[in-house]
Amino acid sequence: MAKRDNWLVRLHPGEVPARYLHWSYSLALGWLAAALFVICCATGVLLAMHYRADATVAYGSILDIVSVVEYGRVLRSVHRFSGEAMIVCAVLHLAWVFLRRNRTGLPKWNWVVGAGLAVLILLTNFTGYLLPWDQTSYWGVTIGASMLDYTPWVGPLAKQALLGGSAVADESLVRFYALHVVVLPAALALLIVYHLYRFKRDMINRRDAQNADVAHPGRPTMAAALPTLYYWELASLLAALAVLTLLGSYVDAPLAGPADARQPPNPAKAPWYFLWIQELVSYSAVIGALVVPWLLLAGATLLPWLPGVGRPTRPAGPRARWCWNAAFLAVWAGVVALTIVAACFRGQNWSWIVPWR
Amino acid sequence: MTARTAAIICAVLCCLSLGWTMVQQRRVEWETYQRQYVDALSSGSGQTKGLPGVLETRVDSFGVRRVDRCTTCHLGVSNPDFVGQPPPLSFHPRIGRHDFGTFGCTLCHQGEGRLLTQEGAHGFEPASPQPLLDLRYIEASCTRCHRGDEGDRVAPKVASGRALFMMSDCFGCHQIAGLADGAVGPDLTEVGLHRSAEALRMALADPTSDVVHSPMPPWDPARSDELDALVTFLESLRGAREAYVYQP
Repeated sequence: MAKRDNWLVRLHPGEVPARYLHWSYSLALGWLAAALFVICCATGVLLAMHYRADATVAYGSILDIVSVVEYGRVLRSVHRFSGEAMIVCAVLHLAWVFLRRNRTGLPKWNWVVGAGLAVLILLTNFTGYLLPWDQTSYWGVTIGASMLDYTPWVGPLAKQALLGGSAVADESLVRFYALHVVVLPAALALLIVYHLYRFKRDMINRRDAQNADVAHPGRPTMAAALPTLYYWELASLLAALAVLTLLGSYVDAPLAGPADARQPPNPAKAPWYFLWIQELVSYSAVIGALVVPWLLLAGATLLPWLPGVGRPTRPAGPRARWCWNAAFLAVWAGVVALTIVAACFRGQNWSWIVPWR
Repeated sequence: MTARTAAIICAVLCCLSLGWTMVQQRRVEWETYQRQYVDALSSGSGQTKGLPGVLETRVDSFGVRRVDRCTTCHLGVSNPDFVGQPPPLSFHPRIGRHDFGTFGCTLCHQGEGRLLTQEGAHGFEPASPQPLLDLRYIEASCTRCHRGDEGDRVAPKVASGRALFMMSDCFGCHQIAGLADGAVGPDLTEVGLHRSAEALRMALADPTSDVVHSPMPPWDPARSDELDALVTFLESLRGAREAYVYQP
């Protein structure tokens, strides 16, 4: 086969260690997240043709989408669920990359880019959450945005800029719409491309380093990345599409009654990906909304530079690796547990309830 | 498993899933009723014409535009041949000068006029604060436009509900702009917008089911006529946000 040269080829590394091409190496989680982004863009464009970002008619346009727009019901469900699945895939991708890191540590800059992508994915989901303008979305965003209040100086300013006022209102809907359909997806697309480009650079750097060190004993066998990577990408996209359309044709994306600023539901819950913060806030506002989230974000971003994570210093050895893995898993277990508690076991006035009774 | 095999398997699964979704989404509830209607129309001649498809009435004269697609299923509303037919095909007698093209359906009956499933349109699927209004309380809708003495004349149930509200000293605790200024219980000025008739009836019969420590005395459920009137009156309270003046 003749060597091709185009932007798609250039986005991929030429040679990677042969084991990278086996499905078990990456579980295709990164590709899945990217595939879900593509699905979100495609369904999002179709939905944008019917949606109106105006508080008086937004809810009605959603009702139109689910009732008279051809396949609108499925489109909305697929869009919603693939957006949320993107969070899951991105987070699992980060976790998997961290847990199976080798002795050279994590690719530093690309890890930071990955963490940035995760934050962007969360923001894109959060801004999209408001658009149906139903009770759940209105009050969910009210709760989510109010978490910013606890961060001194910057928080209230950021909230004001995001909402276009002190509370969720018509202006917020227009801002969230602009962010959700233009700013954040564009940023995501650019950063995804940069993420892939960084991966390619890291592969080239590694190959050069290995070529300079011919006698290195642990040299992996290299293999051509293409077309195998193409196949994995295609498989991820098609698998995601298959699962989501099937899911979307049976399960509707949630929709409550129209937003009513005078009737807060009890309990009002944040979107599920911020529920763990809300649960923490119910114990202590300062710890829950200020200390823990920002510490976790900083920690997750700077993970590759932490001692013992990257190039091991001699005495640290494998023990440091296991300590970090245990700490990492413990934090994630905590976040998941808090989310489940807040989602299922909290009722009126945030009191304990048993969901199956 | 090679990458190529995986891609091929996923492609096949994707085609199956998309195809199944296309087939499955083609089945819509309203086609059943339209087929019944068309069959009933052509029962003599034996020939079946095409189905009318989604029908809608846009109502712009009363506040924010309403889009009522109710006649997609309720095809017999203005066809006198369908007097006495079971719903959804039954005939709707005309009430005074209200023609359906101008007033639509949800202005009086409430519900989600845009939705095309029974569950959704009748207002149970998205937890609607204004589900289909039971006919016992339908007079609550008259006072959207007919107010004052005229309102009491066309909607006597609202008037008797208001009389009960005043006679039973409800105004001592509840606030209703322009009528009562109690400050103990919830403000009822817009209660009809936020609460469904059924929720109001339950709250009247058993206040503690609604507000745990409510000091409000329960209304004897046996006095059903009084409850009907009270709920009709409360449902008619929509504040200034949905008070219409008909402008042709």
